[in-house]
Amino acid sequence: MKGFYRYLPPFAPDYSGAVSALFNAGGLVVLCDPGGCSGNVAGYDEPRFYGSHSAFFSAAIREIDSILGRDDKLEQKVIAAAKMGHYDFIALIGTPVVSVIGTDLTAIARRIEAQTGIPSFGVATTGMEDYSVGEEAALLAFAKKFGGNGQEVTGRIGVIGATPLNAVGNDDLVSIMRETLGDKVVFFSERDAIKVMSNAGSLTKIISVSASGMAVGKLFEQRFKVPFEVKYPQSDAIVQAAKQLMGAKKILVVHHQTAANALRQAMEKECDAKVQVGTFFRFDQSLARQGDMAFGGEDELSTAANDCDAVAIDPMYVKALPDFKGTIIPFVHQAMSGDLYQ
Amino acid sequence: MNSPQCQTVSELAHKKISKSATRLFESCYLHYNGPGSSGYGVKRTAMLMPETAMLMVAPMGCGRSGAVIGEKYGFADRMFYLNLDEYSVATGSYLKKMAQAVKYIAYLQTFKAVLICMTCIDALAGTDLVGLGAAISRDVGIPVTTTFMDPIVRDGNFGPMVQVRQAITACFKQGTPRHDWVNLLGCFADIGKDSELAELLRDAGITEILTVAGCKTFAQLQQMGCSSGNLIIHHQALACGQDLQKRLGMPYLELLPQYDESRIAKQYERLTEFMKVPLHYQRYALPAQTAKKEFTKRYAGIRIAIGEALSGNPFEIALTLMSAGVTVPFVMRDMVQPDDYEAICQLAAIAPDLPVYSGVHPSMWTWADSLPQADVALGLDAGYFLPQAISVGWPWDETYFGYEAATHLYSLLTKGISEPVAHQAQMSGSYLTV
Repeated sequence: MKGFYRYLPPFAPDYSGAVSALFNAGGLVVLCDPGGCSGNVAGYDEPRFYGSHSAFFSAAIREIDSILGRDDKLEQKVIAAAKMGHYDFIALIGTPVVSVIGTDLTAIARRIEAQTGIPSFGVATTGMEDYSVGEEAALLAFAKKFGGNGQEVTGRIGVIGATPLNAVGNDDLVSIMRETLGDKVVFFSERDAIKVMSNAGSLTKIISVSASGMAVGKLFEQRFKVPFEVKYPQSDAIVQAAKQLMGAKKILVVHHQTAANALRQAMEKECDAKVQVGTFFRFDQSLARQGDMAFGGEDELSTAANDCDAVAIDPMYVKALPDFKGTIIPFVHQAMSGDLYQ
Repeated sequence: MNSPQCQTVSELAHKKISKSATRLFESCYLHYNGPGSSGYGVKRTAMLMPETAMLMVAPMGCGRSGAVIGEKYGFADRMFYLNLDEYSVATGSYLKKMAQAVKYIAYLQTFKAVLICMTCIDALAGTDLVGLGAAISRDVGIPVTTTFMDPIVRDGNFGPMVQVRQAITACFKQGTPRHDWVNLLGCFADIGKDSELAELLRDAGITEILTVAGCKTFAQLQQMGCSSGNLIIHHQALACGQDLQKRLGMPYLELLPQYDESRIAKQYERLTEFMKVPLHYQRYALPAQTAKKEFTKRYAGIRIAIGEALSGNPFEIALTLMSAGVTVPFVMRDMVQPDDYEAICQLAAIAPDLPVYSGVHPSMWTWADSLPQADVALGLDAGYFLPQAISVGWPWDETYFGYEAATHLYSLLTKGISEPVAHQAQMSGSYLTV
């Protein structure tokens, strides 16, 4: 039955992906929820939250406000909070409640911008998709708002998607990309994100570590002719996983598509195993090889695994493979198991 | 210098007492749901029901926390998810799938009952969840109970934590009355057979104090409907007491946790009246008095900030600790309960300027550095805002009552101070979403 899951608990949702993309970018990020959705982000999906100085708040929407359509109340709350600090932007992130009552977050953001003078935008996430969808939507809204052809990051390489939700295990993608690319690297999701966005046209290259950064990468490639590529770094977590898989002949790797591709690349350097990539998240055909698949449910995962002799997958999802007899190696994904195996 | 917005206890004492909980500040504001919010949420509470599967009929986001805590606390195998997408929400098609999902769960023959949990979406849509549950139960032939996990109503008297408790007690069934049983409602853990309350009630002819957490089987849970009455130790369980009085004719008594010996004595007097037999509670006072004296001797003058992520009324705990020689720099309370006012008025008489903060107010996050300082933060919500203080979290997996609870409060603080544990380590896995 579509949508019914016995083994696979829910992934990090789209609004968590949206928050993650903007969390460290210096703005006032408001999740337009009653309080539970922001709890998911704070407690389970955003490991940077603890002790953070990033301004992330819940709109604390209540039943009566939803029924009466009190969008003005939301505006007042955001404006009052904006006066308490100095923010580069205001982002309003959608959740199931605002989605189901059809709140126009873009229009509300426009009104807030007019009253505060702070650039504002809405991200129409619904809580019904996975994190990669929300990450893509937030990055795209951010890029459309601020993307420009300034010259302040000339000669730099811009990285999209260096967030914990895209990481394998404990990979700190910001540090890894800094180590790999040196001083040249700038990030679309860190404190100077607006500067990077508004000067994106002067970057020498854009790298997205996840498929969810592709829309923005392509946008800038098309608009400013900045070369764009998608790749996850060959991190320690990838190298370790590859070592553990040595000896297997046919392998299924389950993660977000780019991280899984990185493990396949690492395996191919060392052996001639056949590696197949499967993902529950954003799947882009241009990053796929024949046999790779976007899973629609746990049955498809199980069927694909039973055809292999080794599977690299987040430990929480192993129970979705009750009949699998081969080797399983942990390939941890925060968007799946939170901090359980970190 | 800016500082977090607060009210003094004196200002609160002059407010008109409402019959329901009211926000600390009248103006509306964004909420900071910081990593200090700890406790049992809807899913963990629901999973106290033995031999029961939980079916989350919800958008992916609403089920998310269940993924992690289910693994951590060992109930992941009892959680099932019917994830909603935009099409199914628009057409309502998921409502038909619910019966199929429950049929599947029943087919596994592992569970004796199913708890269906819906979310804000269905609360807003006005879905008749009770009716649906009853129809599915008739169709599938397995007991089905239902609840909403809808933080959209969390400010009212029937927030999600009240509703989930009601869903559990809705399974109590009438049977042969057991005059020697009494239920304890509102706790997350069983109370020991050698506890003060168990001993006291044994003298009054009560052989069993039943709790939801103490039930090993669904049949045992249903049998709680045979008990002679309900003792309510958390205000979120009051609605259950009222439901059960109406449905099964069970009397109830609300006995919210108190930590001061004179207030504990008053509670026992009320319990004596309720049980209609004399309870010789005085003999249990000595250990609490000794614990208090020892604490005072050792820690007089220590500054303890009181959060609200604890079992009890933070104002009453502040009063109690002040009487033990503790300096209380501030108290945290976002939703002021009607029951808080007695302690608020007493505090206003002895420390009128004592500030009260809301842990979710945005100014609390923005200007937390200018909070009054403390040596110890009681409650993980206070602990998050005072990183330099020793953080003492509340042990939700233990239930104490009466003088024993007071003794336990002092030993909790003593242990927390002498063997400090980092706040983040205490928060791991106990983050409260709804």
